[in-house]
Amino acid sequence: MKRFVCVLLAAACIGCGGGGGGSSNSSGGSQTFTSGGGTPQREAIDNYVNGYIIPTLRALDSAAGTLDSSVNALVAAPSASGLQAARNAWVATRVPWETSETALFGPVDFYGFDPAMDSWPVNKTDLDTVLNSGQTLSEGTVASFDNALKGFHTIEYLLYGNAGEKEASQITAREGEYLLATTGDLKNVTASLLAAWVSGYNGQAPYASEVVKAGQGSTTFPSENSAVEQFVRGVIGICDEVANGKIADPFAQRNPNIVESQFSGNSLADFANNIRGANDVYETAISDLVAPGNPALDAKVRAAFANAVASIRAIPEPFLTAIQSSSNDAVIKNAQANVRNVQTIMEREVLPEVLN
Amino acid sequence: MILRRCIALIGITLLCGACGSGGSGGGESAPSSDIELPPLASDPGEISSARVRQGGDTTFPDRTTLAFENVIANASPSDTNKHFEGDANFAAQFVTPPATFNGGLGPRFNSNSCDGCHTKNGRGQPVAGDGPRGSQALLRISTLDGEPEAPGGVGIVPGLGTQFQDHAVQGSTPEGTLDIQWETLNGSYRDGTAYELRRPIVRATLSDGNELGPEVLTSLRVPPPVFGVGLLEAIPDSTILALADPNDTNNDGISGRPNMVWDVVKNIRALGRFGRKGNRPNLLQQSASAYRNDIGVTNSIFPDEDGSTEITDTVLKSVEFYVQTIAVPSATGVSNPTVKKGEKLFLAFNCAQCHTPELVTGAHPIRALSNQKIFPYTDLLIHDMGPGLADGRPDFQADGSEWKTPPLWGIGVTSTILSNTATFLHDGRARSLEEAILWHGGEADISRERFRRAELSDREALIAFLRSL
Repeated sequence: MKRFVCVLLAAACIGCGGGGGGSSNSSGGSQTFTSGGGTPQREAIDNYVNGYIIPTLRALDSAAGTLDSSVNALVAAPSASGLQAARNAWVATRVPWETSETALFGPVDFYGFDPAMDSWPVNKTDLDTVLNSGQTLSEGTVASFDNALKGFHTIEYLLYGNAGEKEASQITAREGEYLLATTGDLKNVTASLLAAWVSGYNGQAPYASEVVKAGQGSTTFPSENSAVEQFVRGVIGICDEVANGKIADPFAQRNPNIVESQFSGNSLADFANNIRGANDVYETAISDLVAPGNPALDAKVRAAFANAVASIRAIPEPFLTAIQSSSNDAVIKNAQANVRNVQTIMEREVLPEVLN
Repeated sequence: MILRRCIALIGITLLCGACGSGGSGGGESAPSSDIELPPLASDPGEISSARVRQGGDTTFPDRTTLAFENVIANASPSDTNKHFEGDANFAAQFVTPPATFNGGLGPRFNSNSCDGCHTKNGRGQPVAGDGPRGSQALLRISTLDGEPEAPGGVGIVPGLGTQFQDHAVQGSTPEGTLDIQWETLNGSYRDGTAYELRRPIVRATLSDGNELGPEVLTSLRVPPPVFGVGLLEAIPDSTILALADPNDTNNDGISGRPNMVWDVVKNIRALGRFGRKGNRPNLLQQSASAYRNDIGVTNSIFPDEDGSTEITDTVLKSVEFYVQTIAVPSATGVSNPTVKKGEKLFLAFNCAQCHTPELVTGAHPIRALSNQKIFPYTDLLIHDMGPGLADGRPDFQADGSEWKTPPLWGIGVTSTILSNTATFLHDGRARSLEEAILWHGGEADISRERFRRAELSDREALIAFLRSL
């Protein structure tokens, strides 16, 4: 599994010191946003924006483009290698998406980009109805469909079948049309999400400029602390979601049907990338607020993240099979406990430490 | 063409904004009047400093975009577990049957999940830009003389019900399409500063191409926040009824009254608390109605015509429990001088006459909600809000210009969640808190005029107070 590596761009943050509520700069083709710096909180905000979320969304958009082109190649000339390439591209696109889920606020939320990309379950009944109809399929058509008929998991279902059994020769012409339309739509959504952060969308200024304006006239983030708290609560939230939702719900019910990314068997990679994204946020933006005054806590957090990721990866693949055997209970509970440990540390120790 | 009843109030220069659906809007004015204002109270007092804990012991100290997604702070471990079970059901996305799970969507619906409408458990938007979300608004419909949905309730529109469902599963046809356009109105503050308001012009077109008949009353609604509602449910009837002054016996121009509605489970008349006009008596009925009408999911309270249901009572009650136990965020900046000034103006402008700051809950089956001193800023009564906001669509005892006072707690977090896309009021017409105030009319004429005629620094202070909630 390729891991998205978050590049810290703080050093490239130029034009600092202007004050007055944040600004953006372009240098060498890479646009950065700055709060003006001068306080540890402002540095953390700039690092989050330029070192975590924007690079992650750029990687998402780039990967979605590769997925779209891979699917185009597959549909044009179906082959086993073409199908594998498309599947690889799908898995690669999941990495930045799951990494970004620590930041499910802002445009991804209020424009509905999240459910348009990542709705679960797939509405298979409606999908069959569309595939069996004479309805013209285009990116625009799919965009107008209910969220359960588009995005990652619809693409996953069409590429993998119910349990990865699908072969290239089994992809019908109609499914090929649908794949082209829905991967094109996904690419449009990732591009819109990136635009909403960095260049503006729907007539609104770049959301990144609103974030770096925290405490300097922003009504979204009325104080620097409010933005920093947002970042930390995002980490807390994704840990809660992984431990108490994504793992807990199917595990408690021993119900493979409700496991996310079950067609590809990518569930555990999804969970691990969620926590890696949270770790990226910590290392990129939060650690500098913790380590100088409390190096022991910083070390504790880093170790907790490593344990959480390792223990998720210790669960036998695929997750939907693992939950059905009690012999895996201990390892699954251990993963939950280690993720909850990160959540608890962030909530009880890191949050009070970083809010001044 | 949508026909709406309009009730004109003497002294209001606004033409009836909600009437008809044509209207270019050019030249019309925003609500204002030259009414003579009584002197301001020299010392309006202040709200208890306890207001920082808006939900009493249930308050959760979080004002991020996740502020409306926390379990009440005083939940017992078993309450917390039940809350999270309900959370999963609230987030569940329904699909078209047959399905291995979450089947039951439609065939006609407005959204495929609860949280599809209540963004982060907060407000929905009438139009969320060009993105995939589109609109979270829906259109309530009824007739004056149709078969009532419940004793005393709105008349059902034959073939359509009481809600216009503009989505359908594949292979089925939605009831029609909604088109929302905006008409602008201009106004100015006393100091000459100009502002622009907007109001929706809604066109509902049936799937056969026809428009709704003139006998159909319509009302555009955006989803309200769903946090803190358990506490509102726990306020004793007697407390709310004691706030009512239907005949304005104290001559303050404000005559709030209860909306007595129908409890479909107990088959009795009951005090309405939920919904924009307070047409639902409790959260179980509100949740069941939303499942049935918003998602098309039948349940034991609102089953299919053949009596069948698509979710169990366990699921329905878990969602009821979930919304009952979503925490109210703490207030912020309560000692900030500007906020303190705004707090006094809120009282002096008589906003608190309807947006009642402090109430105490009574007994509730969820012990954590019981006997809490809370600061919801609502009296849960219905008030005449004037022709500018009138929808001309009566609902139980609320007439076409009456609306239930919405709670204001947490309203300051709205812009954190929705940023510059945040909107307010029942149909999301207000793009700022200022616009929301400027739309107030009817019983709130004087309060609106006090705001409109206030100096900029006072207006900013009042807004700062609201943002602190």
